[in-house]
Parts: sequence; structure tokens; C-alpha cells
Amino acid sequence: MRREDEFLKINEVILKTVRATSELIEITGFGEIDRIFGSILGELNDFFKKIENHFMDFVIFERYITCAYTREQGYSLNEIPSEVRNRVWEMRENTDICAFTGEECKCKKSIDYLKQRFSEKVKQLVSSGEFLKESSSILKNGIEMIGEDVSRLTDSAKKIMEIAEIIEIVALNAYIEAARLGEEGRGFKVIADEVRRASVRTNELASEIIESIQDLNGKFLVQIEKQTKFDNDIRELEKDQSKFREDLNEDLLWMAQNFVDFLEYVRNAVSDEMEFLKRVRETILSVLQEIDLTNQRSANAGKALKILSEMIEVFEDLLRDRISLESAASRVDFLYGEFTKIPKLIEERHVIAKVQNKEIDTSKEVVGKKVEDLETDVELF
Amino acid sequence: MKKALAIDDSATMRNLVKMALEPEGFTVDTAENGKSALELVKRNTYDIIISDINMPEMNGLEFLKEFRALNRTTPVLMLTTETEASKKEEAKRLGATGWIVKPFKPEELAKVVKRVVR
Repeated sequence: MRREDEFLKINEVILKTVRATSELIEITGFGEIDRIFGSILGELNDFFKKIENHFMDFVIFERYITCAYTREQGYSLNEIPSEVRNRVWEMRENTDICAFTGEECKCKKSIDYLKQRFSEKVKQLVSSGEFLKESSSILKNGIEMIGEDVSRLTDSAKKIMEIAEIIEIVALNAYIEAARLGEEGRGFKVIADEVRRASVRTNELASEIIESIQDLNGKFLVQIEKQTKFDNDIRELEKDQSKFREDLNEDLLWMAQNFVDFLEYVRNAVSDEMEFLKRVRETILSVLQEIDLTNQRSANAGKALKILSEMIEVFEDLLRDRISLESAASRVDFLYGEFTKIPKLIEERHVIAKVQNKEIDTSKEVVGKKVEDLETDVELF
Repeated sequence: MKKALAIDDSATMRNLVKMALEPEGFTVDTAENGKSALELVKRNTYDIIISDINMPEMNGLEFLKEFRALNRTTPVLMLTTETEASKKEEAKRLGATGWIVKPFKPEELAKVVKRVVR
């Protein structure tokens, strides 16, 4: 072989090594890690935003569910307008201003308020109920007494009327007898006059009694009306009490329903996040492996550079005539052999095969039995 | 509880094997090269050994040869970046049970280990 050809051959081997080393260095880069981290950072950002939103939801929920006035605002937990949600969040530490209405906080964030409100209402209802019951009882007694009086007077009046009738008859008979006897009957006339006067008086008395009865009867009717009104009031009160109980039940149901809705919401949200955390864990594991493999690639690239540097030294020695052409060629061949032994990872083997104008057929490298349905490359012997 | 030994010079890989197997009920011991691993296998009994190949002091294939002189039944899985058939053949000849190429999915490693450990 001519000297120039030997030079060219050595040069070609070194060039091959340079090109392969260059590619080996390229694949040792952290590009893959950047890519994986880039996507996971984006997702983590979304994750933390979600966590922050859930935390906001917890705060809003706590305020909403414990505020007696929120119920009156008519929002359900999922329907609170976003501006109100934001205000609640911003005013989370403030107990003086109601974050829902933006006005002075009436409930001061409290179940206590609700309890107090209910307690006052209960006291009020109980007190008015007792008063009405007491009044009703007095009225009832009054009516009963009036009834008895009326009854007694009526009986008396009837008796007087009967007596008056008898006296009237006696007086009439006395007049008839006096008229028949003439002068002799004068005594009868005196008696008859007296009897008649007694009869008139008795009648007058009976009329007075009847008037009194009528008056009493009127009063009795008024009392009946009053009684009816009190009865109605009592019924209204009972209605109030019943409505109060219904409202209270509705309030409690509203709270319970909101609580259940919220738990469901939290459960779903947490389940999404658990899934996400699982993905994050898997990504981190793959990043860790990638870092480990990158370290190996770097170590391999380092070895390749060392061999390349030795090749260049040999070439320099040759140019300066420190070694013979044959010796240089033999040394470079040996180093190139070492270089081809360096790569371990499959992509590195592909790099070397490429500069050698070869291809690696991995299907022919299976020694054991390949385990199917796995992403990981596994063979069992 | 079953016992496993993970041999790798990379702490990351040793931890990854632990993380893959512990949820499956394994207790996992670790060693950073074949030499330390040999000390452990002399004192302990393992249901499975998972070993890297390229390690300082004593590589995985050297460890396998020494271990098989002591124990012929415990399964040994090689977990490596190596893909060359010649290396696989050598491992098979020395008594390896299987060959797993890095990178690996932890749940798939666990699946293979459960299949090998009866």
C-alpha cells in the first residue's frame, strides 16, 4: 500500500471515530429529561392551581354552610357566582363584613347565630302560646259563668212570668166578682187592684229580667266571638310553630344536602388528583431512570473522547515522524477496536453501526423467550 | 414475606427496584456491586436476585458465576442496559434466569418477578 493510502486509511478511521463520538456526545444530552420535566412541570402547575381551587372551595364551603344568611341569599353551593366566590376568598379572614353580601356581617360566621336565632324564635313562640292559652282559659271560664247566669235568670224569669199570669187570672176573677156583687164587692175590687198592681210590677220585673237576659246573651255572643278569635289565634300559632319546624327541617336538610354535595365534589376531585399524583410518580421514576442512563451515556462518551484523543496523539506522532506508518496504523486499529466495544446502550450501538455502514437487527439478538405484552424488554431463559 | 436482593452501582436503580417490589410484599436488600452482594448471599437466603452487569470491583456476570457455585436454584434476573446477544448468551450459560433491559417500568419488573418466584 502506498504511503498516501495508509495516511488516508488512518485518517478515515479517525474521522469515523470523530463522527461517532460527536453523535455519542449528542445523545448524552439532557434533552429527553428536559422534555419529560417540561411536560410534568406544566401538569404540576395545573395540579397546584387545582389544589388552590379546592382550598378556596373548602373556605367558601365553611363560610357558606355556617352562615345563616347565605340560605336567604338563595344560592346553592354550586351556583355561587364567581365574583361572590372571589370576594369570599379575599375576605376569608374578615368576620365583620359578610363576604356574600358585602355588608356588615350579621351572622359573624356562625352556627351560634343560627342557634340563637332559633332559640329566640322558640322563646317567642312558647311565650305567646302560653299567653294565648292562659287568655283562652280565662275566657272559657267567663263564658261558662255567663252561661250559668243566663240559665239561672231565664229560669227565674219564666217562674215570674208564670206567677204573673196566675196573679193576672186571680185579679181578673176578683174584678168579675166585684162587679157582680156591687157595693158588697168593693173589698174584692181593692184586692183585685192590688193584685193587678202586683201583676204589673211582676211583669215589669220579668221584662227587666228578660232585657238583662238579652243583654247577657249579647255579651255571651261577643265572648263567643272573642273565643273564636282566640281559637283562631291559637291555630295560627300552631301553624307558625309548624312552619317554624318545617323551616328548621328545611334549613338542616339544606345544610346536609350541601354537605353531601360537597363531599361528593371533594371525593371526585381527590380521585382525579390521586390519578394525577400516580402519573407524576411514574414520570418521576422514568426521569430518574433517564438521569441514570444519561450518566452512563456520559461515561461512555467520556471513554470515547479519551480514545479519540489517543488516536489524535498517534496521528501527531506520525506527522512528526516519531513513529512509523505501520505502527501508527496498527495502534489506530487497536484503538478503534476498543472504541467499538465502548457502547452499551442500544442507541449507542446503532450510532456505531451507522459509521460502520452496518445495521443491528435486534430480533436476531433474542436469546431466551421474549415476554410479550410488556413495554420493558424482557427475555426469560 | 419474600426476600429480594437488588445489586446495582446506581443508588437510583437500587431504589427503583425496592419501590417496585416492596408494594408486592417483598423485603428488598441492596448491594452496590457483586462483591458486597456475595457477602450478603452467604448470610441470607433470597427468593430472587436482580443484578446489574456493569459494576466496579465485581461485575454482574462474575457475581453470577460465584453465586451459582453456592446456589443453583434461586432465580437471578440480569437488569442492564446491555443488549448484545453475546452477553445474553454468556449470562444464560452462567445460569441467569432472565434478562431485563433498562429503562424498565417498575410495575412490569414486579410482574416478571412474581412470574419467576413461585
